[in-house]
Amino acid sequence: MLLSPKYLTEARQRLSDAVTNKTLPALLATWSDLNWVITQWIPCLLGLVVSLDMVDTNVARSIYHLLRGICEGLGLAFANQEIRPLLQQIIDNGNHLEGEEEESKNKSNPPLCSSCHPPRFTPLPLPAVLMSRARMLPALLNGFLVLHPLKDVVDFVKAKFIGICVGELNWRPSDLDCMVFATKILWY
Amino acid sequence: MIQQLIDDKDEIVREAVARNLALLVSYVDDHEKVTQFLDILVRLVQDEHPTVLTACQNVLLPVFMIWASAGDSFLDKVILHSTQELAKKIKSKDTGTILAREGSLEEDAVRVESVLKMLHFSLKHIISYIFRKGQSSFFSAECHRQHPICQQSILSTVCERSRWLACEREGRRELRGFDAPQPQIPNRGEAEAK
Repeated sequence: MLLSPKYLTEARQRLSDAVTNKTLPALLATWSDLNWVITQWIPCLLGLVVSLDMVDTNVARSIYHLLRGICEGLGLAFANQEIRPLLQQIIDNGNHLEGEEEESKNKSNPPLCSSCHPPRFTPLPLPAVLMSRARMLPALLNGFLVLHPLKDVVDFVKAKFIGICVGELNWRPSDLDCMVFATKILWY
Repeated sequence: MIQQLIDDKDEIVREAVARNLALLVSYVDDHEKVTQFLDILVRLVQDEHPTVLTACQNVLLPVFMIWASAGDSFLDKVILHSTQELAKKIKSKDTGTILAREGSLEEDAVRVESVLKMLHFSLKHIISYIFRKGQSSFFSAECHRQHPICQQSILSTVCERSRWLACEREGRRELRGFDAPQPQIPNRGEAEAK
């Protein structure tokens, strides 16, 4: 049963007010269905994003559209407060986990002396966390940021391109592919 | 029988399946059958013929959503279940060579697309459901009067949607340019009076 646009607008406004008044946590504690969106459904969708093959552009686009629909449906204020951090967490933690992973790898396998052993040229697969955070970029851009004013989107794209190119926060040039894909499908 | 007719070569039959299933759903009390109906719905959503898809989108899906949301754990049984199915299919696509089942990859790809399509169509129903389930203080009293879901309200949705579909097919001028009607749910008072 659909609510009329009037009530949907009213509901979004009230959620937005709850964000402004900082009463959202209390509201979520008693509102299991809204809580379900951020504890069950969005994480499940983000799991899909992370496991997606980028070649599947139609499937990828559909999931980003779904994410966008959820953010739009529940209102931008709520999405900013509750949904964006879930995406951002994967993007930020990729960096964090990768640091830990490399550290533990160095502990267990101390670096080999290059004079004794020939250098290894076999390319190693990227750590999964790096892949996942790169795959999350198109989702953040197309599923969430696209709802924001054009200037914000352009600023994010510019900053991220530069950040990846200069290797900021351990981003790698190979992650540019995901960023290119994200901008190619922007607004579609 | 309905499940067999989904694969009928004639699109009129498949369209009739969608509309009649909507009618059938409204008479079913056992909400444990939700996954069976969901499976048929997803299969109909992947139909390539526009009339079948329109019937599915404008009649079956709204009715199914109203019916399913009246049962327990609608979000878990319908929405999360579908999303988890997507995850499994996408994973089985990645490990397709290991599974090595003939034709399964293509089937999985079609299924992924139709489940996604179904979720897209359902999104406005999901958002409405979540807001309806919000705290009573969250909405004005007028909105809360729209809550009761009864068999009569589901049936009226089926009739109204089917009528809209028939008019649309005949291309009646007065309906052109309008979107599918919003289901009109009688207020509690009206429903009881009837």
